[in-house]
Amino acid sequence: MQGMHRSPMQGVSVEFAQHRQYAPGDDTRFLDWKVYGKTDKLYLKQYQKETNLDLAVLVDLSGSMAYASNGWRKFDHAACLAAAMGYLAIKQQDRVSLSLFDDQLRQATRLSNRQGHWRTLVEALSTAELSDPSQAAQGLAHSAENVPHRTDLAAVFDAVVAKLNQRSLIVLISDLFDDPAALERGLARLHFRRHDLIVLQVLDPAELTFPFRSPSEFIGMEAEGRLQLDPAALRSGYLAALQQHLGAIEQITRKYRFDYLLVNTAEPLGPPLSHFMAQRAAGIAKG
Amino acid sequence: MTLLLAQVASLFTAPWLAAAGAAAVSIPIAIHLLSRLRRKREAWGAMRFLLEAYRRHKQRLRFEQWLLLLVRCLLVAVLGLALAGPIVRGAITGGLGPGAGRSVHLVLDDSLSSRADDADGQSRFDRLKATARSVIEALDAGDTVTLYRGARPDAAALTGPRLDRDQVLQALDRMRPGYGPSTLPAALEAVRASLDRDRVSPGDGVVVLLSDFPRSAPYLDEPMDDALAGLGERARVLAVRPATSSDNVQIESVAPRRRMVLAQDDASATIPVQVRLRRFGGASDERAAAVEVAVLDAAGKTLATATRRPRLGAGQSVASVNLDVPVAFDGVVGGEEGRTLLLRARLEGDDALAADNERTAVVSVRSRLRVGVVDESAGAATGGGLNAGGWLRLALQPGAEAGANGAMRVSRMLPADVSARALAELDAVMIVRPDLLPDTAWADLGAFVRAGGLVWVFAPAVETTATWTRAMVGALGVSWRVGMDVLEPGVDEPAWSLDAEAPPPEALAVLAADWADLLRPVRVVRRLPIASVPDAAWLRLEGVADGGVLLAATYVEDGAALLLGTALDATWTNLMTKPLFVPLLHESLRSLLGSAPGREAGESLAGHRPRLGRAWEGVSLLTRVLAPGWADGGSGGALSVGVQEPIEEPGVYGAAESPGLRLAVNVDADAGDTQTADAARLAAWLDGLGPWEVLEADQPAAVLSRADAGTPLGWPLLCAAMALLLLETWLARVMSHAKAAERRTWTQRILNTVRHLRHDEPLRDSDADRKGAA
Repeated sequence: MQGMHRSPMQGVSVEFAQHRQYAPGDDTRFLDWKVYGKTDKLYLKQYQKETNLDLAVLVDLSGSMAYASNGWRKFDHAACLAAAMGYLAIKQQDRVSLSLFDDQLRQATRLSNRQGHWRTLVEALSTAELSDPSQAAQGLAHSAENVPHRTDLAAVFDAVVAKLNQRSLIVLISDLFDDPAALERGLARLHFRRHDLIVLQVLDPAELTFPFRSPSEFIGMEAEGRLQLDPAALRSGYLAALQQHLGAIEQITRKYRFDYLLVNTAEPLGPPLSHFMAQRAAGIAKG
Repeated sequence: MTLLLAQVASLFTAPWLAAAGAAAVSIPIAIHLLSRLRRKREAWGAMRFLLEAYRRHKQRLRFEQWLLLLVRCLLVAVLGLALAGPIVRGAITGGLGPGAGRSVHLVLDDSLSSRADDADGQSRFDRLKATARSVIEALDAGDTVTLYRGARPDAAALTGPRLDRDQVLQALDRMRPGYGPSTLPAALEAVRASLDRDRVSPGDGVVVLLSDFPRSAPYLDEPMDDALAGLGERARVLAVRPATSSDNVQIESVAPRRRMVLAQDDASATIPVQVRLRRFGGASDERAAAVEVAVLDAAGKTLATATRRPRLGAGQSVASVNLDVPVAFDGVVGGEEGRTLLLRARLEGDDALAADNERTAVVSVRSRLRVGVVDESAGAATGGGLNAGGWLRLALQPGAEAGANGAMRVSRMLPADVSARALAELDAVMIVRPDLLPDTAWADLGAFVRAGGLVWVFAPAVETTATWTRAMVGALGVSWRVGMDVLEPGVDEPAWSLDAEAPPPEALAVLAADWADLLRPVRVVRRLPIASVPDAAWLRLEGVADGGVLLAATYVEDGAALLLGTALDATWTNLMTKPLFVPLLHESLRSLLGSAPGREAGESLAGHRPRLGRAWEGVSLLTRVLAPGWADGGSGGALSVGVQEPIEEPGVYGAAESPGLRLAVNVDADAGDTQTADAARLAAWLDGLGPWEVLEADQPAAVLSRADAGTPLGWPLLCAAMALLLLETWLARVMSHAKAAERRTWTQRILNTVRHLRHDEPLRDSDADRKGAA
């Protein structure tokens, strides 16, 4: 079963694309003799090859993805995005796989473009277990089995790339609360394997604005400890650190020509998806 | 700690508000701590950025936090202090504790006259104590107080300055008036030394003189000591007004007419006693109704009493009362060793001062005296009569040849027999041949007289140069100058006569009535020139240029020495044949023996260390065996004092080691003058100290209040509180790090809360946070 995506590679294909004037050295097998017979000019026939697309969706399952300032977790938003993209890919006969990770690959589905595969993806997303944020909020000690996991992108990319045997499109949906250097190492591997990558960084609006004013005790959701402070006094410092991190992420993705999009969980899913698809189409057109 | 709190409290007009303000400092701290406990817990995903920001700004955040807390605490504290009305005083500028306030020196005169009662029955000392108490209570908390005894500055009521008012007041309550004279200059000297030692600045020293200022105080007429002349500039001197004069009659002295009473065993004897009275003021005779003299044994048991009503004429201030107290000895008198009796004179009456209405004395009673006469061996008569030794034996023991048992036992000694051992058996030695005594004998005689014996030297009836006089003067240690050559009247001059107009010496006061008649028949034709001090000249020749001392007498330590400048010989004088001879010998022996000042173990003054003679050697502790009749029963007879310490309480004291020894301790009679100094005389004396002020006894606090009573600090502190409030607002706005619209200080929080309460709208921070986040 072939996918419906056009390959950016032009060459021998089943679908004619265009004519190109012959140049010395071109393969004479692709001369269009009928045109030569009519115009006495040498033209080569060019075809566009239709390729199948393997879409690998990576969804972050770390503890910080459970944060929700208004009841809508970042993971919820990421799961919806992953499900929507999986649905679109399967509808286009593309094979899709889903990988859930935190500091390592926790769960992965096989590549498939079966119509029933989308249900598998949704089930995997709906049954994914995150660290219980309520325990963190209550200041309870985390058990050994329930220690909130951090994001470790380098290790995850290693595991994912090992399963991909052909060039694929990888969609990474995460809050990327990891060391940018680790992310860069992971992106470098993908770039080396000529995979394509779309980075969707999902953040809660509270994380973007830090609106707290009352003295509070902040408890890290990935076992970073707790901190008592007057948030208003530290707001500017926090936002500066966050912006620095976001800038670093964007710079790294731009460095490897990967797509990057910051997704606010307070915003609808449609606009970022449309924006994403448009960006993808523009990228394919540019070939 | 309590004292420190009291000192701090004195700095505020409303100390409880200051305490409340100090306690209110804990409110911001409590809010700070409570806010830490009540902080909302927030699970946070992007903790890494929060931690990173916290690490970067931790120091600044802590500084801002503590600065804001400090400002808020200061705001509350300053506000509380402002409302408490603090007062600027030296204690603030100088800190708290010793030395921060004034150095107040209270000199409380506890002399005998302060015991006098005023018209209302309250004693002067109690009045002075009440004034002292008022002064102490009027002082500031930071002031130190030192308490001095005006009559006994060496026995300080309190050692060193004290801050603790209770301690000072307790010491004041324990103070009792003494029995001695006022010695304010000595106390002021102690004050000056303390001011120098503590380096008290002139503005901080206060000297308060609390005395009745008796008229008889000798210092009032003496120029002020140079060391005290500037005391008024060194410290603020305050003095109470003199007390009101009151009438007093006292027993100035009581003494036996003869110190040595001779009485036979199992017989009766009469003890002649002279009581001298002194009146201060115009006290009527009713104030001295009667004088009672009692003779007591050494244990204090009354043996006999005699009473006589004194008569004090108008304007008469001194009177003597002579009584003969017949005593029936019911036992052995004590033989030649004697026994000790006590005399107690008591003035019955009602006057201002009771402590000087009683006086005691010690008298010695013996059966006979032992007299040795040192004469040459032959004892030949001169001119067919008796020789010198014979005259003496006859005069001393007139009935001996008839077998009568007289009061004297006379023994004859050869000059060669004079030795320490032989002298130890005698009370007196009469030497008629001093020219025959060896030097060793003179040395023994010197030791004998110093130990309490009596040595009477007569000029020998020899024509040779009297070289022995030098040995005698050296051995006896007397100050006489005795010529060696015999003097005689001129050829045409008659024999020398005695100066009958001169009064008799005090020791021979019993002969005063017949003194001139006794002296008039005596003639002297030969004599050795004697030069002595006037008091030592008992008999003088009339009309002689060199003074004509015929009989010189003086005390030598515990004993006495006499020198008669003529020989008991008819070719020298007719003294032996005249009526003067016998009473002169007897009264001299009885009055001089045992009465030497150096040997005086019989009497001492209260407040002084007693001078105890040789008989008291080995005694370490004196115990009172007889308390004055007016003394309170508190001390009673169980009072004991070391021999090296001054005896404060009057009475009769004895020693356990020597049951027969008694010491009569009496009050200082001169200190019993209850008349007080007039204001001009007192002012003249106080002017010697420099500037001084009158301390009104009824309003000591008004005088002692500081000139710089304190500057209110309330308004400046309120202004400071306002400044702190503005600072807090500014700091809170700056350190909130929020947008201007979101900044909320305490003031804004309060206003916001009120506004919400008025509109019944609950104020929810979380909601506000959410809105801010949106």
